[in-house]
Amino acid sequence: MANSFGGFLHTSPLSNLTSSTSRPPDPHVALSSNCVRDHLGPVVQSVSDALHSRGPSTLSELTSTMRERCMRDWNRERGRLVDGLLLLDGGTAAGSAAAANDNARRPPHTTTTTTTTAMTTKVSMNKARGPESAGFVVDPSRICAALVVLLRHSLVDVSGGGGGDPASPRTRYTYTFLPDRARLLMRHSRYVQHVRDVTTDERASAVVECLLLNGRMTAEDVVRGAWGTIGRRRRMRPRDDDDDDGRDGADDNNHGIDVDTNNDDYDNEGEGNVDDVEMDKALRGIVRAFVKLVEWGYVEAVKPIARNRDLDRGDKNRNDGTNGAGEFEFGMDEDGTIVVEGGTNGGRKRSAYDARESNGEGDERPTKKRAIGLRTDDDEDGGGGGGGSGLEGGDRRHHPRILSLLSSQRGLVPRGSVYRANTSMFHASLRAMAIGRLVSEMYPDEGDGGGGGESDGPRHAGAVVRAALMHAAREEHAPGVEESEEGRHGRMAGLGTFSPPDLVPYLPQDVIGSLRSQIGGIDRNLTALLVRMSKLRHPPVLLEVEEARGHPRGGKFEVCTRQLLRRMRDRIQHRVLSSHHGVVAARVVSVLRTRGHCESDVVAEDAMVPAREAREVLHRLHRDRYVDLFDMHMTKTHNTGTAIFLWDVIPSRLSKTVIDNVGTALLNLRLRRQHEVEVGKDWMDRAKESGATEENFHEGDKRKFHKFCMGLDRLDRACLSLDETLMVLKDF
Amino acid sequence: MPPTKRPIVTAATANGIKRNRTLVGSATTGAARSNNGGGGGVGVAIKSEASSSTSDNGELREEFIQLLSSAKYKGRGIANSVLKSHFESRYPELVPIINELTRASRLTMSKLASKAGEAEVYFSLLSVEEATKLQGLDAPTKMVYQVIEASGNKGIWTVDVRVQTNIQQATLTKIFKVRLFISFRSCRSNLSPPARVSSSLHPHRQIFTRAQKKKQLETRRLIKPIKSVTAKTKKLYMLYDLAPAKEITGGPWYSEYEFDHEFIAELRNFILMCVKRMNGGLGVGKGVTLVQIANKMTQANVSRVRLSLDEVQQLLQTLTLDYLVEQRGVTEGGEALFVAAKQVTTMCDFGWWDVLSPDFHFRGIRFEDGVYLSPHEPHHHT
Repeated sequence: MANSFGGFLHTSPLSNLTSSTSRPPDPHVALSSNCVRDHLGPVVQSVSDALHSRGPSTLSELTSTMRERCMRDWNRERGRLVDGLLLLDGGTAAGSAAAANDNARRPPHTTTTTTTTAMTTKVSMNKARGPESAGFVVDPSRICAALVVLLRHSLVDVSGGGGGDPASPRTRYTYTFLPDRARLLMRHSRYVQHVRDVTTDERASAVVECLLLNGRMTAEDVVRGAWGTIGRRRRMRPRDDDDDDGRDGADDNNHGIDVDTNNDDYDNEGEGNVDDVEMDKALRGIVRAFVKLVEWGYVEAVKPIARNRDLDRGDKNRNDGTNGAGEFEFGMDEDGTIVVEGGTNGGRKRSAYDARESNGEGDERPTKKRAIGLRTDDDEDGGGGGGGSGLEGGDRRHHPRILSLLSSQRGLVPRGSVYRANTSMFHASLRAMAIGRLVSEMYPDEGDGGGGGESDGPRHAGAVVRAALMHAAREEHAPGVEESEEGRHGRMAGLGTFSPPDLVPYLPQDVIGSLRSQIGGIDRNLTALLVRMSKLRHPPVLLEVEEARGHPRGGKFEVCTRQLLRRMRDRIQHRVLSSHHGVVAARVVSVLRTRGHCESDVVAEDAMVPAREAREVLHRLHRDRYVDLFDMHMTKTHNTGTAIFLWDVIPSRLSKTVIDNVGTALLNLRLRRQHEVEVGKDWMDRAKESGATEENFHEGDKRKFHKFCMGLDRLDRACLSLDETLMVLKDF
Repeated sequence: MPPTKRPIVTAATANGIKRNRTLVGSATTGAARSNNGGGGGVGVAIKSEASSSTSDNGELREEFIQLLSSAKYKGRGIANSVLKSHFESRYPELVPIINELTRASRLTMSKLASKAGEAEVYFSLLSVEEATKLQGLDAPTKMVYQVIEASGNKGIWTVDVRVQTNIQQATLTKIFKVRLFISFRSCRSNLSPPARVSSSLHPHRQIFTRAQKKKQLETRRLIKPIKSVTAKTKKLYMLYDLAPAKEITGGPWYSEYEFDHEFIAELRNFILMCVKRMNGGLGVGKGVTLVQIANKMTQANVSRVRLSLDEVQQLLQTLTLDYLVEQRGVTEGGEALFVAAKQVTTMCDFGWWDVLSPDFHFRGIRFEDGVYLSPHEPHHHT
C-alpha cells in the first residue's frame, strides 16, 4: 500500500490504521498509540498495539502475536547454522566475522546481531521483518521489557494469578492495555503546570514531573529525582529569572489553598556545587513538597512491581498491600518459553541470570528496566539508586540525608512504598478550576458585572464553588493516614456534600477577609452566601441538602456538578458546531435537541432559515454524524415519495461525534507536528549549531528556521487547546 | 393540514335519492298536459291539484332551506340519512327541489364519511352571493371549485386537483384559465345560428362572456394562483377571497417569496440591544419579559408589518438557541425573564476543522497571525 508520508512512520506493524492517512476507526485508540510511541518509543507502541488488538492476553499469547506479525520468513537451515555458532570454541571471532559479512550484504533491518555475555559469544539472527525503530520486534526479552515499561506507567492492567504462588509457572497473568490512560501521556505538561499553579511551589512541580516521567517510584527516588530535575531546570534557565522562581503570584494566585511559600532555598537547589547546608535545605523543601502532594492526593501510593529477587527471598511483606502482590516480572528463555524469573520452585526453568546470581554474580545482573534505557535524572547525574533503575521498594542505598528526612514522615510515607501521579485527582482539581471559572463568569461579582450592567450574582460564587469542589476532590482522593473502615464508609457516603466550615481552608484569602469583615463573622456570612447561591436556578449552582437554619454546622450543601458540566459541554458542542458547520447548523442542532423528532420544515421555521438551507444543513450534519434521520415509510414498498423524514439529535451520539472529531483533529495535528519535526530535523540541527560553526550561520536560514519554529509553536498551541476540550468532554 | 379528499357527487341521483317518476313525474306531466290544452273541468281539477302541489312544494322547499341553513348543518352540510329521517314520506318530493337548487348553484353535494365510517352524501346550502358566483359553471368546473375550496387557505397543487377530480390536464387547464382564442373557437362552434348572427355584430363580447361563464374560474375571480415559499415552482390554487396561510407565504419573514435575511438580522440585533439596555432599567437587572420586548419593538417601529407576540418569541428563541440570550428566572406572573448571555470561557478555542480532511498533511497551513507552514509533498512509492 502506498505510504504517502514517505519515510515518516507513525504506526506500528500492529496498528489499527489501514493506511498512513486514513481516518482511524477509533481516533482515541490511534491517539493513545501515538502518545505511547511519542513518549515510550516504537517497540512499546508495538506491544501496546498488540495488546489492544488481541484484548486481554497472557505474555505467551502476546509474544506469539508479535512474532506472527513482525517476523520475516527466514531460512531454517541458515538459522540452525547460526545457532550452531554458539557451540563452537572461539565462536567470538567466527560469529563476529560472519555477522559483519552478513551485515555488509544485507539491508540494515536484517542485520545479524551479536550478543556478548560473560560466558561466551552468542550469535543470533535478527528475525524481524523490519527495524526496531519501526516497531518490529520479535525478541521475547524486548517484548517483556516493553510490557514492564507499560506496567510501570500504569498503562496495562494485570489480572489473574488466582491468588496462588506468583512465582509458580502455572500461575498465569492476563494483561490488558488501558488506552484511556495512555492518552493522558500527552497531558503531563498540563499536570506539571497545574501543580505549580495550585501549590505555587517549584519543587512540587519537579516532584510531579519526575513521577510522570518514570511512572512509579519510591519516595527516596522521587526526592532524588526531583532534586535532579530542579538542578537541570536551573541550569537551563537564564540567570535573570532565578529570582522569580516559584514566587510568581504566590499571594494572589494560590487558588484558595493554604500553601507554604517559604521558598528561600530555591537559588541554592540543584546538583551543582552546593555545600551540605544548601543541599539539606533543598532536600528538606523537596520532601516537604512531596509530603504535601501525598496529603493533598496529587500523588498516590500504589503497589510496586515485585522484583524477582524479592520473590526469591520470600519477602514477608509482599502481600501487605504496598509491596506489590500480583505484579512481578516474567522472563523468557532463548527458545521463547516463558518462565518466571528468579523462582526456586522445583521443575521450573531458570534463566542464565538466576544461575549466575546463585553463583554470587547477582549484583551484576542487568534488570529489564535498565535494558530498555529509561530516562532518568539519575542516569545523567551519575547518581546511584535513582528511580530509573527500576528499583522500587528496594534496598538500594540512598542518600542518608534523604532517608533521615523521610524517616520523620514514615506514618504517611512507609518505607519501600511506591508512588505515582494520581491523574484522577489532577482531573478533579482541574475540573474544580474550570467549573469555578464558569460559575464566576455566569454570576460575576457585584463589582464587575457583565456588559449589560447586571449584578444579580452573589459575590464570590466562583471561588466558593471552586473551594467546594476542591474539598470534594481532596475527600475522595486524599484520605487520612489512619482511617478505619467505618470512617471510610462515612467519608464515601458524604462525598460531595459539605458544610460551610469545610470550605474555609480552600477559600482565597481575599474572600475570607471579605466575609470576615462583614457583620456576623465568616461562618454566618458564608452560610448566608451558600443559601443565597442555592436559590440560583438558571443554572442551579448549589443544592441545599440539609437546611441551614438551626443546623449545627450551618447546613449541608452540594455543588450541582452535573448540571454545570452539562452546561459547559453544551457550550463546547455548540462552539464546535458553529466553528465547523456555521452558526445556522449549531442552531439547527439546538432546535432538534429541544424539540425532538422534527421534519425539516419545522426545523427551518424554528431556526428561522429558509427551508432549502435548513435541508442542506441537515444533510451536511447527517453526513458528519451529528444528527440522525428517521424515515417513516407509509407503504410496504418503501416508496420514498410518500415517506416521512424526521430528523433528530441523540445527545449521546452527538457527544460521541464531537469527541471523536476532537480526537481525530488532535491526532492529525500531532502527526503533522511529528512529521514537520522529522522533515526539518537536519535544519534544526544546523540551527542549533549555528553559533558553533561559521558555515551554519546564515541570516536567511535563521529567518526560515524562526518561521518554522513559529509554525511548530502554533501547532503546539492548537494541540493544547484541543486537549483541553477533550479533557472537559471525556475526562471530567 | 392537507385538503380532505372529497369525492364530488355530480347529481342528486347519483347516490341516495332516486327519482320517483311515477309520483312526481306524472304530476309534472299532467300539469304540463293541462298547460298545453285539454278539457276544462279536468283541466281545472288538475290545475288545482297542481297548484296545491306547488304550494306544498314551496313549503317543503322552505323547510328544506331552513333545515340546511340551521347552524347545526352549516359547515359540513346535512347527511342524506338525516334528510330521510327528517322528511320521511315527503323525502321523494325533495328531488325536484334539490335539482332546482343545484341548477341554481345554491346546493352542493359531497360524499363524506359519516360517523359510522360509511361514505354518505352530504348536502350543503350556499348563500345567494356564492350561488351567483357559481352560476353558469358546468359540473367539472364546480367539482374543481369544490376541491379547491376544500383545501382552505393552504391551497392545492394542480397535480393534486387532477388526481382528486380525475379530469384530464388539458381540460383542467381550460377550467382554471381558458385562453381567449380557445374560447372563441369552441364557443362559435356551439352557438346557434341566430346567436352567430348576433355574435357577428359583437363577436368578442359575446364569446368572452360565454367563456367566462362557462370555464374561467380564475378570470371570474373565484380562485387565484399562489406560490409557496417552500416550493416556488409548484403552482397552487386557492379560493380568491381567502388569504394564504402562513405556511404558504412564509409569514413576515419572507418578502416576494424570498427569505429576508437582512430584516431578520436587524430584528435580532434590535432584540439583543433591548435585552441589554432595558435590563438595567426594568426589574433592576433581573431580566426583560417577552411582552416588554414586543412593546419596545412596536414603539420603535422597527418593522413595517406588525409582529405578533409569537413572532417576537420566535426571534427571541433563535437568540436563545445561539446562546446570545438566556432565561434568568420568572416574574411573579410566571413570565420568563431574559438577560443577555454571559461570555463564558468555552475551553474550545480551536476552530480550524480543516484538520479533519484526509489530505490535511499535505496542505499548507496559514495560521491566523500569518505564520505559514508549507505543505509536504506526498510520496507515492510503495
